[in-house]
Amino acid sequence: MAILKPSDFIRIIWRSFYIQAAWNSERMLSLGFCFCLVPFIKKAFSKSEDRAIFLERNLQFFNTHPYMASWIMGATIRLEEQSIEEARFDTKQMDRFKKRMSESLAAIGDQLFWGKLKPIAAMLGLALALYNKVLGFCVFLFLYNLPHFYMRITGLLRGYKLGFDLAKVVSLSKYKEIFESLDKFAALSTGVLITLLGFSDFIASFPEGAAFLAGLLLMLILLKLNVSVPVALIVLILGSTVVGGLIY
Amino acid sequence: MEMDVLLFCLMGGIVSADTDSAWQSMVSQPLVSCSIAGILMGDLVLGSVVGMLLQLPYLAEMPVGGARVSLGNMGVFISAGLAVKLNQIFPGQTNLILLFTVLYGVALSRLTIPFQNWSRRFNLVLLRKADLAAEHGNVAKISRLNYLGVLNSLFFGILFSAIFFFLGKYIMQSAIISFPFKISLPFLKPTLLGAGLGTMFWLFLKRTTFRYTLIGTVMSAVALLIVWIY
Repeated sequence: MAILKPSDFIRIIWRSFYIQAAWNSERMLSLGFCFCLVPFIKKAFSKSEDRAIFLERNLQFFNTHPYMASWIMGATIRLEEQSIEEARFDTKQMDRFKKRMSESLAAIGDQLFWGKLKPIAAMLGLALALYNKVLGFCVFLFLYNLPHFYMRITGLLRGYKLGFDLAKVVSLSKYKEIFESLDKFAALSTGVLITLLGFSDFIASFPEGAAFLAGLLLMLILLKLNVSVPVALIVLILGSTVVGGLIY
Repeated sequence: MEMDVLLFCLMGGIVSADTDSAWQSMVSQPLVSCSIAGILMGDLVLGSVVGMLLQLPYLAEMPVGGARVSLGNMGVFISAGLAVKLNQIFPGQTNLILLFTVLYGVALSRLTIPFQNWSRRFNLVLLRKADLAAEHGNVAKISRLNYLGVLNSLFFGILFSAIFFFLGKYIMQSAIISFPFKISLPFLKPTLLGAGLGTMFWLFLKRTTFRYTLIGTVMSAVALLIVWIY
């Protein structure tokens, strides 16, 4: 029997935006995870002893990608509902499931959002910002947040629907094709951006074009040498200043 | 404090919170936050130029797992606000201002790492209190503790923005007045934009995807040519 109303799901989705608020190196997202499930805890457990058992179990180490955590939240709610109905439900099995899923979802989320969608949205936003500043950042926010919000909302609902079956649906290998397509699209966007920047007001002469290419190659080399971004940028800024000063 | 600087510092709080503790809607990304800094300070174009120059390079640092990465967002946001403010004080020195503020912003991004450690220690204190609340099944306290984490991040952002905005303004005003050379800096913007694309190459360029970069370059060149002809 479903314990939660649709309004409770909305509350959980809202709370999921704060899942990383108390992120710590010891148990990472555990406090945020419990925080998100507070609407469920209030409905499912009337006695404070039962709430204490649930909280102590879920305050253990938990880490995943923040957007993908909603899948596990949904599945956890479904499994907890089952455990309330069938008093003999194995909670250890549930904890093992949570741990395994958190690892898979972290790998998917990190690659999908940090590794692919963020750079793609940023490149397209930057390309548009060359012509219209406000449109540029609006498009960036829209392109990134559409899949972001979609993942948070559908993750919770599908996780709730699937329960243990979530493991069959979500796996890194199933996302491989999406990642490959996004890689190709990112490479295409990089090409488009090269042309647009090349013909922009930022690069108005041949020496500036040469500086652009030098910046590209040097950054690539510095990143391959594992130099941190701030250090690489300082090297490039000072280098461009000195060379520009010598030439002009 | 002037109203624009006050709003700028409050926005600094939002940038800090959005970066890792709440929402993560990318309002904190340089392309967005610097444009907002520009709007708040009175020059959207200069603010967004700083954001455009520094948006792509920081994408190389990903906050995967518990990795401590330099928070480009905060440093770049402060540098955009400073650039606009200083440009209003010294209108003919835009290039020099851009050089100083961008360098300052990049250095600040490195400085955020110790602050992240402090924030994580504060969150550990919250966790200990959450353990005690959990023993009593006190869910209301769990909620309050989590929201305290957001407040901590907001407060850090406001304080960090205020301190380093005024410090930067004080240092750079003196530096600009006493700077002995006339400087044009023709290569600063192209080099930083090139560095951004270098980062994208580092992330995405593989043997299998190289042809897509070529296709993108040629396609957009043809499109631009058609637009130029007509």
